[in-house]
Amino acid sequence: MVEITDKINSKVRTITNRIPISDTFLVTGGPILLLEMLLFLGPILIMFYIAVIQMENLQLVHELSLQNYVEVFSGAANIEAIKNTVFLSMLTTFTAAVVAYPFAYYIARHGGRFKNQLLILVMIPFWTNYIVRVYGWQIILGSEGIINSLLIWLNVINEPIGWLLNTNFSIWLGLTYLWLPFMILPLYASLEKIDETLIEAAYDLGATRRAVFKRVILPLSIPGLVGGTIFVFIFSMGAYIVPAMIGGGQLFVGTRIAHEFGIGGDWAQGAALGSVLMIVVAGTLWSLMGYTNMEEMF
Amino acid sequence: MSHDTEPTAQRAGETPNQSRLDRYLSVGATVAERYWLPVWAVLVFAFLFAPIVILILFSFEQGTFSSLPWNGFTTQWYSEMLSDNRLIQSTFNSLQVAANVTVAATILGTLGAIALVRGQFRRKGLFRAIIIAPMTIPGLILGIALLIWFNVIGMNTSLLTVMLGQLVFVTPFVVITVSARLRGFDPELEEAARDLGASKWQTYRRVTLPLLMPGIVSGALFAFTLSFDDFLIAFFTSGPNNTLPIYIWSKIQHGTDPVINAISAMVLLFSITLIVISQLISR
Repeated sequence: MVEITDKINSKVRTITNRIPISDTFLVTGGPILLLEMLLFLGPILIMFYIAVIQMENLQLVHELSLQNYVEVFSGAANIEAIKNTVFLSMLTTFTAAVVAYPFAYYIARHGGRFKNQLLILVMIPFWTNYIVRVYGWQIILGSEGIINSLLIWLNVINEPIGWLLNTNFSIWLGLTYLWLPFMILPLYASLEKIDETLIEAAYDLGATRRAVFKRVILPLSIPGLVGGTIFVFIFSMGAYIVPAMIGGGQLFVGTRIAHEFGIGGDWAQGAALGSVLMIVVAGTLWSLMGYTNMEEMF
Repeated sequence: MSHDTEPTAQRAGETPNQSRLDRYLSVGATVAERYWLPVWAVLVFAFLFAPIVILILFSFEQGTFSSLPWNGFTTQWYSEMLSDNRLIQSTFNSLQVAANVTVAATILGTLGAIALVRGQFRRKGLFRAIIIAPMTIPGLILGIALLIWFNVIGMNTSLLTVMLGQLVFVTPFVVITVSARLRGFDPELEEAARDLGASKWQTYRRVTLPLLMPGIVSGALFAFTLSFDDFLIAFFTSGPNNTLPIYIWSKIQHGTDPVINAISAMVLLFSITLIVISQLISR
């Protein structure tokens, strides 16, 4: 028995020693490269192609034209959706930064020995099902929801507050909620790395608290701030769940795209909207990626 | 911490009354400055956990509307949940998809991490970009692009296309998790093993793999959660088959129902358990 396994082992060894395991790119990097070329780059390119042909009676007609792009920027609903999406994405990015910065700063600099436990608490909403969490907001904000029923029960109001759900307010709240951890985690990573002695040196040289923040802490946390901004802005621009679930009928690019691929039945039009979104995503990444290190964020 | 308080020196030339007010104000400012950060942190945590806590609490609420005041405790919604066959079928589908995606993503991702960290080749920047891009692209775009792609190449959408689609964005997460671990250990350990007569295979199995294991396991757990929770890719590429998030989605479209709270609570607790395990392993 032992002899046989020894023999097999030595066979395996000779075979595997002949395959250069860790130094050929083809074996290690090849499979993932193939995967991303076939199922990421390919589909994205085909989306750009579909955007310049037409769809008639639920059939793709291979005639090149820019008609779909014209429609993206001239259709009233599309213009309104783009304006609303850009505005809410910027507002969400700004809010997330303002909310996350002091929070990340506190955990990173004053978290002490509970730092890791606090960080796990941030990771939990980051990795749990987002549909379920957005549904939670639907329960909280609805006209018969937690907030309204509580306020009516306490006799603070007589009629439920209508603007809590299915408005731009709820989209803004939902987006901020959903992407907040994407702002917190990169900010935490960059704030945590700051050398305490730099801050002490600044104080020793007579800097005020404000000056220390403005001239030492803030500049050193820029990579985290930029990393968070990239994620929150891109994900808000491409959001679908939040506007569809708690956005009522508010026009939003994500829901327009899903509509064209669903009951709208105009894939070409949806692909054109998707391509514009993709260009915005790529542009954001291109212009901001140099200021941050994306790999260190997770 | 010693810098959190600023000197509140009394300035000369002020009446006692003014200076007392001044002192109160500055004491107030100091207190606020010292405590606003922890208070803010508590508020942000409350915001992050509000829907999670509410869903779990109200899955035990008797009334059919999830509203206050509290009507009473019940486990009725959980027993209703367990008798829902479509729910059980979609949960089974999700587990099957997630298991397959996890195995494939872990293997591809670990190999990819080795290439990313140890590999020496030209155009490494491009390779890195191709790995990172699928993580940053909104799921909606990836979802519709994959839907078009499978349609163009004539592949019927099913659970298989869901798995292929999820692999695109799940694998990069494994690459990042494993490569962080790989950067942390010294390549000289491998060289030492080779110098002491270990074959390439032995080095790989006895040195590299055990050292990477915590990274690989936590990457695999991440992969599982990402796949299990994914809605957008599955929504566009699942065809007639439901995964759990799609089932929850369609149930929500039909209006609020306390059974959704019970399902949500289970999904949340399941994910939370996986995350905590993965974090405990990787730290």
